[in-house]
Amino acid sequence: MIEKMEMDAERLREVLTLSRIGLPEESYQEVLDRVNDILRLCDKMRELAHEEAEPFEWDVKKAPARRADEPVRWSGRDLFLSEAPVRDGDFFRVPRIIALEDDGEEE
Amino acid sequence: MEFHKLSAREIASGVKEGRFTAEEVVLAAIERVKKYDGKYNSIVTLCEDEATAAAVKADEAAASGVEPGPLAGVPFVVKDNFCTSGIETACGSKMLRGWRPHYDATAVKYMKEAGAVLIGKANMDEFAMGSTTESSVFGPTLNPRDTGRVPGGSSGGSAAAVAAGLVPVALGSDTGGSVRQPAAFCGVQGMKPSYGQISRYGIVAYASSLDQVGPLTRNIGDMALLMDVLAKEDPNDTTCDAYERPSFSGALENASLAGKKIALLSGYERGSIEKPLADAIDRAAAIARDAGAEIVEARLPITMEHTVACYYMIALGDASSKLACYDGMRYGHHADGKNLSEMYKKSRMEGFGDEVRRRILVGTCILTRGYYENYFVPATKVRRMIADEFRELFKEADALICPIIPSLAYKRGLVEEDPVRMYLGDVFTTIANLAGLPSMSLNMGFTSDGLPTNVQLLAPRFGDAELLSYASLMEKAAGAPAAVDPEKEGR
Repeated sequence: MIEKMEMDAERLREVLTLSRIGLPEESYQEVLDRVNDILRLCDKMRELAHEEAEPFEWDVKKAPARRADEPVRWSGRDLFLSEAPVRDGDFFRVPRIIALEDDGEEE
Repeated sequence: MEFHKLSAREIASGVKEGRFTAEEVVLAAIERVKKYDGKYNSIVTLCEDEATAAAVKADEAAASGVEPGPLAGVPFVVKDNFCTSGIETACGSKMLRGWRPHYDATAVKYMKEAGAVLIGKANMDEFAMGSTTESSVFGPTLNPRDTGRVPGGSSGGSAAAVAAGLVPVALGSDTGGSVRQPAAFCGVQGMKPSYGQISRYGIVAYASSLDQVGPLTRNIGDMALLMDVLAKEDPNDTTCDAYERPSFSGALENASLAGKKIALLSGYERGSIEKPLADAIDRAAAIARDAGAEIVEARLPITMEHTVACYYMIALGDASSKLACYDGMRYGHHADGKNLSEMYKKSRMEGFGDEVRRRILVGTCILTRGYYENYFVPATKVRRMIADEFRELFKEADALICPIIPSLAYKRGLVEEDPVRMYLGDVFTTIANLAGLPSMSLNMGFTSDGLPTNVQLLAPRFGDAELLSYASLMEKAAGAPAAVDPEKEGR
């Protein structure tokens, strides 16, 4: 059971990896201070007796309309290709990325 | 003719009756943006060619006998997180600079079908995360009522454009007050409709269970007109309810507060609200009482104590997953890296600003094992308890009056130094998003320094027409706010 919502440098490192944000180590303290200010706001909520409540979900007045489940021929191919940063015929050209085995992190 | 002083309703009837053309109105609006918006930076992309072409087309259609729509020739802007076909939609972020969607958001489509003409995209806090419109990649927007103050956010550009008389109406999105708070700061009317009332299709998501499209206008008549156009079911958004909407404009014709019970929120320190805003609450209550309403007290202890925490847990958890697709490969700014992981990290570090990164980090933390069970899941239960408090309240009362925000418009640069202060300022607005209620920021006049005062009106879910009718009566007594005259505005 986690008793208190607080982030330290180790936890920040994990969360940075999960959220795929690269942050220089010299900025850690500033980010930790600000993030912990926010997290402290949340601790009080857990003091409320909420166990019996059902998780929230929306009531629907009338079920929303749904589109027909049918294939639709779409003719926007050239429109999309016109937005490609670099176009190669009928394809987007994307950056070539080759990960090395010892680069470690989850790909 | 001074088109900028006309309401949307007056413009549409003038175009329909042939007293002036859509082209004249739209060209005048574009000219006004070019002349004055350098002072405010409310519009980040001006669609001059597209708008002129659309106006000419509308005039040609009208000349050939086609019935003009209810918004014929009305110029409007939308927040930069609404997808607009062929027009940059950057969400105020470096991450999406240059991105041009291939379709219009449903709300934009409905506005165009009604004859309105899109003239530009309005500035916003990056990815709608903020309440000052200072974090945009396009630079800050200034408040036309006082350029030393922020316009509020995140729909600050939309509110400023309406306040400056650049357009009569604008659209914003409201996840935790992002239409109502800037409307309050800029002295215009702003509405967050019930969740499920307007399609969210084509709005770049921040937190899907909270986001809602909202109109900003200078009077409630225009607000009702926009609701008639926008509030429709949409097969592209399964959260958009399919019930048959009443006529929102029609609701204004039969408006009455006689015999209604209007609740005044208590349970917060009156001293924590700036005096002109506390006085505005008294004035609103007096107007309702004079109109025949009974004023009752409302206590919402769970809501007042836990709303901010509950809101940020849900919003940031949602935001962390919604913004995962901006990785430099599928969407958004790309930075080179020596492997895939480094490329993602560099792209997201460079593409997102400080506030967005901060919210993603907190949201990601909340969704990890241990924290999810102990924080996120309880927040969904507390949200239910908050919604239940309102359900009980609205068994006894027809509407609720409370503050929008404890402060008059902030001075520029203040919130950047203390983001938690910004979050705590959201206590009164986030309640409507958590419970899905329709809610209105209603102008109640100005201080002697010219700063807008306001109150918030809330009604039961899908009571949007009733909310508009109460607001229209209160506006008649308090007066609808006029646009700023940029020639005279010298603060």
